[in-house]
Amino acid sequence: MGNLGEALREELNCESALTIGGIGISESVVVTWIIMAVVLVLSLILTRNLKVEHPGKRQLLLEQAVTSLEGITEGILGPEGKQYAAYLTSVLLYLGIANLIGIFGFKPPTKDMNVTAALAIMSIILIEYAGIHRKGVKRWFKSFAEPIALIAPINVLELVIKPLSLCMRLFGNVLGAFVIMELIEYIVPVGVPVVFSMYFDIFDGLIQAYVFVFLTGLFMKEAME
Amino acid sequence: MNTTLIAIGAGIAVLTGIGAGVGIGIATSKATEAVARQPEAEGKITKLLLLGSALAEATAIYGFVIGLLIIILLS
Amino acid sequence: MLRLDINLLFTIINLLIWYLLIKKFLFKPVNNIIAKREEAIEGRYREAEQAKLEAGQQKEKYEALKNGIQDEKDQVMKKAQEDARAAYQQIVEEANRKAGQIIDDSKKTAELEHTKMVSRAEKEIRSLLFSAASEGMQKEENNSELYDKFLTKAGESEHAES
Repeated sequence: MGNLGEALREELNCESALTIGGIGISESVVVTWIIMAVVLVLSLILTRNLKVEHPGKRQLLLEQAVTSLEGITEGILGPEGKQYAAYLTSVLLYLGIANLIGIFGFKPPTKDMNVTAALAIMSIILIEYAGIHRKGVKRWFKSFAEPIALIAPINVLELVIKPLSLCMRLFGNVLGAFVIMELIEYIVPVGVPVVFSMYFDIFDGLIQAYVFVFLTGLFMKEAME
Repeated sequence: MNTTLIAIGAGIAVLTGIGAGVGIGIATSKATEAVARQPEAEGKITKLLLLGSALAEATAIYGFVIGLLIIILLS
Repeated sequence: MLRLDINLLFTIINLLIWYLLIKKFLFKPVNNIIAKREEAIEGRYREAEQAKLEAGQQKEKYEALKNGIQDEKDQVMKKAQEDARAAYQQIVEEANRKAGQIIDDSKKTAELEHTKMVSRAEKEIRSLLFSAASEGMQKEENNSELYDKFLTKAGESEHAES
């Protein structure tokens, strides 16, 4: 059993993949680079010769994928938050790929708390920016004292709680799925992990990506009201 | 002694799963009722159920993270 | 796993770059092409509408033209009929006139002939009378016989004349 714990701890540690000038760049960042490069190349190839008339199967599929992804975020944000839909769509795409990349043998970047924390910080900045942009600075400050001035501290505390919750939810889900998968693979290396991977890697990963984007969109909508 | 306490602490932290389980159970039962009442809205209800379950599950996840933190940081 | 360090900053930068890249190289071209297609479809609809309108106009024009042709035809027909009638009238009148003339002419000739005949008959009668008188002068008796002869001769000559 001690062996299992040791193996688990080894897996859970995020090693620095490479060091440049004394700064350790973690594995998650490298995996993110790989994702970025692959998706960039893929999108460059896929969007190379798009046709207005008589699109091919590949183009139809691409258009379908892009419009449905944008449809998800635009549906969450509503008409007044359309300008932020592109960011949320890109985050959705990134999270989807990042959560699924465990299938290909990479460590999912979202298992590293740096990534989820970065996402959460960007989310809270975007949420508050949307609020300020919509209401103006004065009304934004006033909105902390709503509905009554007494709960203003709680509202201020929410600035921390919201991103923390977003960050921890994503991180915990991915980490939990990862740990369970590691355990299963430790016990039964062949066959069974594929079935569980269906749930923990694919289903749960996509759901969590959606939940993250959904909650960010919901908070933004709330901030814009 | 020390490891025993750590194990107990981690176990208590994981009890948050109870809340998540009850919550998801209630959500599912209501969703089933809703589908029985309005079978044509099944797609929408399924989406909402998945979303609600994912949100309710978060509490269990918090417990899990705390348990993990206790084990890793204290041992 | 649970430490926050400089990689947080890297990740934020990564995410911003990712957002820009995705927006520029994936969403923009795809959305552009969709917008272009929608525009093209819209344009085609407009063109179809235009063509329909033009076809309607053409049809109206054609209809008007057809009506004009009908009118013209009617007019021409009417004119031709009138012309024909006038010509007919003229011809008939001419014929009537000619016929009248012919009749007049023949009447005149007949009259002339008649007068000629009468004058000849007179001449004949005169000569007969003369001859009869001369005969009577020769044979004074049987006067009745003489009259009879005269009458027969006159009748014969009359018959021969006519």
